[in-house]
Amino acid sequence: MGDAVLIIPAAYHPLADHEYVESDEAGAMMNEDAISRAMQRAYRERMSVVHVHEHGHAGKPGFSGIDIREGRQFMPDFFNTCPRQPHGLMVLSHDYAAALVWRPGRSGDCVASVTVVGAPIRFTRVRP
Amino acid sequence: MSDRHSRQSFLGADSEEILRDLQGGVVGLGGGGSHIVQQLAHIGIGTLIVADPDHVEDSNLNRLIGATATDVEDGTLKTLVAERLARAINPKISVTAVSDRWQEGHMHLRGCQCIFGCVDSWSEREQLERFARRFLIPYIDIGMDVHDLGDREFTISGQVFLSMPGQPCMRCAGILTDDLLAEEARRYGAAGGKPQVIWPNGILASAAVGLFMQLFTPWHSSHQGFAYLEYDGDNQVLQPSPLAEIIRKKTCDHFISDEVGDPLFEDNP
Repeated sequence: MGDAVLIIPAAYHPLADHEYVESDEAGAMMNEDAISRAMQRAYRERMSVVHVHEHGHAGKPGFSGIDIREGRQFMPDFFNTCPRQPHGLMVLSHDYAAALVWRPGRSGDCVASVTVVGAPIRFTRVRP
Repeated sequence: MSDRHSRQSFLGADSEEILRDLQGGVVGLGGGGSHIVQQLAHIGIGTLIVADPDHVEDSNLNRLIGATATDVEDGTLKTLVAERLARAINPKISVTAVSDRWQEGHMHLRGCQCIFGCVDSWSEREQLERFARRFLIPYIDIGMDVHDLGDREFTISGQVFLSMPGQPCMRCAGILTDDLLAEEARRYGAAGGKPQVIWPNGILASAAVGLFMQLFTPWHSSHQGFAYLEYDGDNQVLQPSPLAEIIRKKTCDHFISDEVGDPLFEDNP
C-alpha cells in the first residue's frame, strides 16, 4: 500500500435534529454543538472523524463547492483535537460514495478510494 | 469495452473498469489458489496480491496450474509461478508477490477488496478470516478433503464459504471449531501431505470466483452477501449447505462489529 492510509469505519453517529442549523445555501448544516460532540468523541477514542452527508441521486457522487469550503473550515478543529489521525469528508449517493481525506503533516486534501462493503460491493478507485 | 472482455459484457458496461480497479488477494497458491489466480487474470482483475512461502515440488505437478517440470528442477517459488501465469494472460496486471507467510505481507493484503483463502490448516483459515473481518474485507475460503473409509474406499468432500463482515462466519457454520484447532495444534499445526487432486480444486476455485463476481459485477438481482457451499466429490455435486439457510438468519457473535482495524494500534498524541 506504500504510504497509503486505510480508514475503517468503526461507528456511525447520526446528528440529532437540534444539531442542525438552517442554511440558505445548503438547506441545513451541522452546528457548533455537533462539531463539538464529534471532537469530544475523536479525542476520547483517538479516532479519525469523517463527516458524512448524502446527495439524493444514484451513481458516483461529487463534492459541491459548499461541501469543500465547509470541510476546510472545520477540519483544523479535528486536527487540533486528534492531530495524529487522518480526518475527512464523505458524500454518499443512493449506491456509491466519494471521500476527501486530510492527512497529518500533509497540506490540503486528497481524494480517497472508497469501498462500500455489502452485496453488491461498490468500489471507487482513485488512480495515481 | 475491449474485445478481450466482450464475451463477458453482460456483467455490465462498466464491469471492465470495475474489475481493473480491483485488488484481490490469493493466499495459498496450490491446487486451489493457482486456479483462482488464472481465472482472476482472465476476467481482467487489475491487481493481485499472491502469497505463499513454498517452492514448487514434484508432488505439486498433479494440480498446480502454471507449474512445469522445469519449475520443480529449479525450485521456483509458487508466487513466481502465479505471477508468470497472470502476466502471460494479462501483461497489464499488477502482481505483488509475498513469498513468505501471508502475515508478513499483511500491509498489502489489507488494501484488497476481497481475499481468497486456499490454505491447508484450520489455524491459517481462522487467522485469515479474523484478519479479513478486522479490515472489513470479504473473505472466500475453499477447502477439500479426501477421507479414507477403509477397504480401499475413499470419499471426496469440500466447501466454499463466503465470509462477509456482519454476516455468519466459519465458526457459525461449524467449519472452524475449537476441537479442530486443538487437534491441529496437537500435531504442531502441520496439515501434512493431505491428498489433493485437480478436479475438486478446479470446481471449488471456480465457485469461489463466481461468488467474487457476484459481489462486484452481479448479473442478476439476488445478490449474495453470504454463501456456504458444500461439495460432494463422489457425486460431482456442489450445492448450498443445508446449514446455510439456518445460519443465514443468525447474528454472528464471534466477531464484534466495532473490533476493526489494527488490534495493536495505539495513539499517543
